[in-house]
Order: sequence, then C-alpha cells, then structure tokens
Amino acid sequence: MARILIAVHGMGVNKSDWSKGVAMKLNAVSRRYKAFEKSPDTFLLASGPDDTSMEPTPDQVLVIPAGYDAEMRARAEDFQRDTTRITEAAATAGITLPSELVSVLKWFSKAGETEKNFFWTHVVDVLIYHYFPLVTKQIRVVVMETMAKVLARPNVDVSIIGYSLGTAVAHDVLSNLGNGIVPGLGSLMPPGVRFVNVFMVANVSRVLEKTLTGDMDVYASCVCPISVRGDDAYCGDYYNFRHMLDPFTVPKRFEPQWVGNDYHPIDRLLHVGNFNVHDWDHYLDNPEVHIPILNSFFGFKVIDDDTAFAAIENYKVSPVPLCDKGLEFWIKETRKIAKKIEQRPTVPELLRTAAQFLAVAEVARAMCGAAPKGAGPSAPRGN
Amino acid sequence: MLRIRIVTGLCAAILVAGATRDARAQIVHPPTVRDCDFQRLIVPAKADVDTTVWRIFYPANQLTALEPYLQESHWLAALDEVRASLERATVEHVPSSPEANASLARFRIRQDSIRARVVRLLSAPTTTAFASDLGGVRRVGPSMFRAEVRDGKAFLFRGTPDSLVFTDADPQGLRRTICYHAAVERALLDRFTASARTAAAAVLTAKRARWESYFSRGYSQLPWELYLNSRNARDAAKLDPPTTQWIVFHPSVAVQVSGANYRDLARHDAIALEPVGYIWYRNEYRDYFGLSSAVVFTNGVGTGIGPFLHFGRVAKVGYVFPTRRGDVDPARRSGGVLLSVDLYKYLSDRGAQVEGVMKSLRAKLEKP
Repeated sequence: MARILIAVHGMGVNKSDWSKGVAMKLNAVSRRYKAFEKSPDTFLLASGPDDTSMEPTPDQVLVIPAGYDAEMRARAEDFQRDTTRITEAAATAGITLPSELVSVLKWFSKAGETEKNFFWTHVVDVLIYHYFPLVTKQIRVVVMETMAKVLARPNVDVSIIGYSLGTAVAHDVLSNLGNGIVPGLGSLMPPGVRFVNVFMVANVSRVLEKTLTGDMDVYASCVCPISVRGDDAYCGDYYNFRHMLDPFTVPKRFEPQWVGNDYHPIDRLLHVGNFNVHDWDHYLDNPEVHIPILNSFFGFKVIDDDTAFAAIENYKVSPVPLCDKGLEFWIKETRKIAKKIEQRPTVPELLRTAAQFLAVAEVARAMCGAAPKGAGPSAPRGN
Repeated sequence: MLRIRIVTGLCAAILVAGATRDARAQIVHPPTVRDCDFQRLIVPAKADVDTTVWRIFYPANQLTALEPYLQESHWLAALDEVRASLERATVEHVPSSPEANASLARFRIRQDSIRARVVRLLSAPTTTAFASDLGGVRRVGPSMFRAEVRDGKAFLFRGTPDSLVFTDADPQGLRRTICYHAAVERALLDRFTASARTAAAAVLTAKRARWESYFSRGYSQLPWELYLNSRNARDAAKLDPPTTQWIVFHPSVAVQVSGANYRDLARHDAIALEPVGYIWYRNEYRDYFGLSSAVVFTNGVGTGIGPFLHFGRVAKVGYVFPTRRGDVDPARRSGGVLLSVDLYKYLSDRGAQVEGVMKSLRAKLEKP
C-alpha cells in the first residue's frame, strides 16, 4: 500500500540517476514550507517497478521511474556502432565505397556523442519517437510495463508526472492502456483502475499526437479528468504546467476546453531563473508548480492559500543570477524562435527550433560569466 | 531576582516558540482526510481513530476479520459481511435524516451493482475468460470505491449519478460509516482483481522481452531501414515487433574467400552492401532466416554481386560473382564465398581443422 508517483522523463541523455534528481528536487522544495520542515523526506525513491524495499508512510510518496532512455540510447548507439565499424573497416582494408554512402555513414556515426550538439543529445529523441514507430512501440511497451507492474501492486494510489517528451509518451501509453485497444490489458482500464493525478510539465503531447495509427487525439482520449469523460476518464485530476517562454510548448499548445474543477491549467508561468526555462528543475522549483503537486498528495491544502500566495510572490521577485547582457540576448533570440515555431507549428520545425533554443540558452549562460551548465537559483540539471 | 525572572521568562518564551514551531511543523490532517483517505485507513495502527467506538468498523480491522474469507476466495461472503457491517454502523452511528438516508441508499446501490458484477465474473469458466471479460473486470477494479480526497473534501463515485461528497461539516457518523466501508470494498476489489492486473503486467513483460530480442538478436537496422520497416508497423494496437523485416541498402563488414583455383583460396576483407533483402523471425525473435542480394567491395579482387543467406546474427553466407566495375586487374578479379565476419572467425578458430578439410578437398579435386 502506498502513494506512488510514476515519473516519465523527457528528451536528452537521462543518466541512470535522473529520477533521484526528481525526488531530491521535490524534497528540497517541500522543505521550504513549515509543514514539512521537520518531517522525514516526503518523496522516497524506488529503483524501478520491481523494487518493493521501500515502505512509505501515508504522508510519503514513492517515486518510481518509468524511463526509456536505455532504449533511445541503444538505437542511437546502434547507428553509430554499425556505421563506424563499416567506415573504419573500409578505410583499414583500403576499400573504396561510393562517396554518397560514405557521407551518409559518417553523418550517422556521430549519433553516439552526448556532449557536443543538442540535436544528437536531445532532439533526436523526439525524432526517433515520432518518426520511427518500431522504436515508439518499444518505448511504449517499456513504460506500459512499469505502469502495469505498479498497478498490480496491492492497494496503491498512483499518480504520474510526465515532462517534455515524457508528456507525449505518458499520454500515448495511458491512452492505449485505458482505451482497451491492446488485447490482454482490459483489467487496467477505467473506471476500475484510475490514476489519481496526472501532472504534465511542459506538455508537448499535442504536437506529437497520433504517432501511430489508432492513437487518439489528446483532447479526445481517456487521459482526462473525470469531469470530461466520466467513467471512461483515466485520471481523477489533470494538471498542466506551461512556462510562457518555453518554446517547446508553443506549437499546438495544450489548451483543452475542459471546464471542470478537476482540470488545473497552470500555464502562465513567467519567472525566469535559468536561461533554459524548459528545464525540469526550473519548472519544479517554481511554487506555482510544486505547491499544487504537494497539496494534491495530501488531499488538502497542507500549504495553505496564504502561504502559497506569499511563496509565489516572493519567488517572482527573488534575485536570479542572470546578467543583463545574457538576458537581453536570450529574450531577443527566444522571441525569434517562438515566432518561427508559431508560424510553422510542425514536428520538423519543433526539432529545429528546439536545438536552437537549447544552444541559445547555453550561449546566454556563457555570456553571464560561463557559469556551469545548470547554475541558477534551483541548481537545475539537464532536461 | 529580576534577572532570574527575565532569564526564566526568556527560556519560557523560547520553549513556547519552539513548541509553536513544532506544532506548525506537524502536518495536521482535517477530519475528512483522516476519515476518508484510503492510505490512512488501511494502516493498522492509527492513533487518531476512536479505538473504542469505531474499532470494529475501522477498515484495517475489518480486513483482518475478513481475511479467512479472502484466503478461501469467498468473495461474495466477504462482500456480504461488509454490507452487514455497513448496516450495523448505520444503526449505531448514523442518525436518520433525509440526507443521510439518501447517501446511504446511493452507497448501497453501488454495493449491489458491484456484487452483481462479481457474481458474473465468478461464473467465468477460466482465468482467461475472467480476464477477458472487459465489461466485467474493468468495472470491478479498486477505483470503483476509491474516495478521492481533494482540498479537504472526499468524493465518492464522482462522475456518476450516485456521486457523494463529504466535508468536515458533515456528521462524523455518516462520513465514517460510508468512507470506512468504501475503503474495505476497495481493498476487497483490489484483491479480487489482483490476478487479472498481474496477468496484464505479464503480457507486457513478455512483449518487452520480445522487443529486446528483436533489437539485440535481430538483424541490425540502419536508420533508413528502421524508417522503412516502421512504415509497416504503425498499428498502435499491435505492440509486438514485426515478424518480418526488409533489408535495404544495408552495408556490413564481411570476408570474401576466393582465388583463381582451390589452391589459391585466400581471405579478402570486404564490405557487403545489400541493396534489398528480407528477413523472417522465429523462436520469439531469438533467431531469423533471411535472403538478400549483395554487392561486395574488396581491395584486391574487385567488386562482385551475388546472393547472401542469413541464418541468425552470426552466420551469413553467400556467393559472389565478379563484375567488371573498378580498376582491378581483370586477371585478379574472382568470385568466391562471402562470409560474415563472425562466421569467418568461428571457422578460423578451427583453422587447423579447416586447413585439413581444404587440403583433402584439393587433393580429391586434383586427382585425375
């Protein structure tokens, strides 16, 4: 028996301990409030769905990672290994290959590098997920298996937090689990099984929707609160967090006409504490994001309205380590990027502009004294 | 004396302040949360439960009492016990009022409905039939009786005509009677459907294993092949890997064994480019068979073309016919056997044996 939060990561090279960062961040932000000051850690971390070593109390939440990074990386590394092996073997043996083949092979042989360019480290994940259904399906199966194993545990209240590409993965997985199109999974369907909360951070599920034939429109799927689809709804409450300057969420914004009070659109975030406003930690650091998350697990406003208001107002005026020069450059470039993607809200444009945005954030960070990547009030990490 | 009083007063103030901070540091749950939050109700030792009056109705205690039924899978008897307990609690703790009676009536309707579905599912002849009864299984899951606790209110059966809402303003007797028994019903249904959920997880575990085999033991795919093969695998409902696979312009490292005659057989490193081919998977994607055409580039014996057979990831064998392409001396151009590097290595490891076989072959062929 436990409250469980399944975390689905976003794009980029998510090292094996990514979920540790999420749990640590949630614990760190909860400590800002008196109610949690002297409590033990609210968020405990399990290594995976099979890890049953943790025994959270009713005031604790067990975070279980539903990662798919290993599968993503494996495909990129396969590309690199196969192509590098061929070009090297040809060079060693002095074999002359057609020049077109050589140039294609060399391009793909960069696939395994993780540090040098944002396309290969971040954006390629979106490309693979959207355009390579064989990988899409494998990723979905991996995440579905985690969810199914968690749901098979006795007496659990399960919530989900998806971030960036993880919002699309989480949506698609939940949608296909909940609508009964996959044979053998009927026992996981609503209303008998239902997720307590779905938290979507930097939601891109709409721009990446309908990757496969039979996928549902994100507004029409079962991934919605009860007020929208009653018995067929797969979650009790749906939270959507969007930073207004986050270009990833610009194309096909997630703005459903859901009017029930179990849909919580928190989509006017404006605070810039880090040039990469798309960063997961940057989102979680914001009281407008973490207070609803914390309150939802306790079933009441453990952080009351007055405390929440004060925290949000203080956060808005808190000093940030961003220099004017960098900020000016970043605002100018980000506007251009947002404009570009608004004009062409397509997946290819998203891929291009996403890489540009991450590069702009890096340049702006360097302009402010080359602070280490991720420096900021919230010590954010990767994406 | 005054100093002592001031110090004492300060100490007292500090202690009071500390106590206040401590009090604030505690998470104080509102009554509705304490009474209706399922995760609290099934924890056996709970300090804030009235252990004298409510003890027998407390969900953890009810579940302990029901354990013999559950161990014997007497689901209907267990559900009937819960109903009987509800009626007892109603008599003892719920003063009659139109609102309370209406709420209890709705709760009973839901209990009856669930019981009818459980009866239907229990009549299923096999476990498979039970799990595949979508209309039945999906409507007897634990969430059917989950009390959603949000903003200090508890919601039951939200989104249905039997919806119930409880707040701190509602009578404790009614709130506890309904929430406690909802928690017990939920725990029973959780256990009743546990095997079906475990079976669903097992289905997905098997699928994941197939995908692992497909990518780790299958024929590697370059991006354009992955893209092309993906075109035929777009059905979201079919979550298993495809059983066949196209090979398109697939380069690989190989070894060509060729010579003008058997005496001159020699190894030549080669790159085999397969313009087109097809793979069939078998044995849960642990193995495959395939056929492709191959253009072979070498250094020394020119370029050749020929068929290439695939027997799993390790063994590939084909025959190469020389072409006129390239600037290799026509005298040196030759066809030969094309082997995958792994197969060649396997054979090389038994070099002496192979050499012996080759010698005997040569000897036989050279006999007049």
